[in-house]
Amino acid sequence: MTLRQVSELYSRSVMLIGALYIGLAFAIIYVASLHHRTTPRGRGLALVFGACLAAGQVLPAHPSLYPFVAWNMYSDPRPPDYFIQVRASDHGEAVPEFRFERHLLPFSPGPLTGYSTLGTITARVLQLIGHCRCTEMDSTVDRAIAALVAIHRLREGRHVDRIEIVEADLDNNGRQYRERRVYVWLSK
Amino acid sequence: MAVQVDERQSNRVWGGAKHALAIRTMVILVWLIIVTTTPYQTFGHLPAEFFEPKGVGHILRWSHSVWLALTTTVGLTVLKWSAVACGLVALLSPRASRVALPAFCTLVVCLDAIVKAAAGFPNHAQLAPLLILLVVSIAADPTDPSGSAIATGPQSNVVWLSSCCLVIPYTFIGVNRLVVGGLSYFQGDALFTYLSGVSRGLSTYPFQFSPVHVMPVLNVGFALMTLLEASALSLLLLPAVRKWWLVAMTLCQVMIVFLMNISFWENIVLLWTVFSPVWTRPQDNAAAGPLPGASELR
Repeated sequence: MTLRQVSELYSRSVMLIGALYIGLAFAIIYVASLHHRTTPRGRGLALVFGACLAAGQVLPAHPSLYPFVAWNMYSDPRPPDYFIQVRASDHGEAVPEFRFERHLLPFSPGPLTGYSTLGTITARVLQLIGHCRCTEMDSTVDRAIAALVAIHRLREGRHVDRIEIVEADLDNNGRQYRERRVYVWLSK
Repeated sequence: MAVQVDERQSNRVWGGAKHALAIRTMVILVWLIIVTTTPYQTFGHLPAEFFEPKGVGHILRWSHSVWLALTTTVGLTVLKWSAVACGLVALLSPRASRVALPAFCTLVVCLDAIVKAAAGFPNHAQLAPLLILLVVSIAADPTDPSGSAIATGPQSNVVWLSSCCLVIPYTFIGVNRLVVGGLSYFQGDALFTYLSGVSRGLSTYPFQFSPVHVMPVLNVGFALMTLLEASALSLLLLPAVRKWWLVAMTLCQVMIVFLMNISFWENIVLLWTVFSPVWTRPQDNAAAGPLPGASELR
């Protein structure tokens, strides 16, 4: 059986995925236990942790399992061919380097900014936009963006009266793109 | 002289009290750095609808008024500085840590739950440190007065469970990437597309990505890193390769800082603490002769 066939079989079978990760977790726990004197409490904890880590890997979208979540970063051989940009402006003038995260995290723009929740605030805003299935004028999204803009003003003293979130296509070289509007927020 | 050598070696025995103490100290320090540098109080400005609890966060939201109180600027500030105080007490006073460490762990879990409730996806960099903090809080009695260098039950639990909390996620990442994508992942432009999106999209990212548009090099490097992750079990099985695995993974993580603008510094610190070559198993040191009390090890 080739790796490709294994990959196709894997993608079709939740049972197989579950068996693979539970087997892996318990095998690692067993190997680790060979070098230690264990106690019933430790063995119990190990079984719970192993089962939860495997469950998080099998059911990646289940929010109740946090902090046991899927470890599947950069795994899809067909990654999204677009990216999200947040553009801020004040009276038509672009506010450069506007990032939602920057106002929540203690880092100024620079080459090594991220050692915390990079991108997650923008991702949360996109989730809210996804819930409303709209491109403007949603009260929840508007209040969220207004709060982030207020934090921006509080921390940096710059006013923003318009936020536009766009989805831009990457071409084969990752250089040129078309774009679609995802959401627009206007200050009231 | 021989006695001194034996004493030094017995202090560095894998799974011993010193090893457990090092892990406990380092994971508390890591979380103290995270808690003090994260401006939790800023999250208090966000509207209530912004928060969507995950996992243990559901328990906090059991009472809506408690949740609202915790997610205010005042509530978050109190939680943050209480956590810092408990962490410092747990770190500095072994006797008081019986109470302070579980309290620190509880407060960190609360803060983490609130931040993650305002996040669109989990921050993997902080998951293994969170699990290890749970391990050191639950699995061992931190006030064990014996100070024995030889592995005892509860202290050894901290070491083997912490090692599992690091090895299992790394193995899952590597195996998942190999099984889901197979070799095709490393033959096309998947990684380049990921990096292009990351560098243009969500992050504040002045690094010019186009100069590293050399896909074969990127793909070979990523394949090697994936193999490294999938082989994390070697940290437990092969003490001889432990040092080289750690060095290679550290170099990979430094590369990731530049290519993806993310850093897993917490994991690197904990990997070096748990799997540092200074911790040796008696059977790996057969030439040095048996350690005092080594027969107690299995």
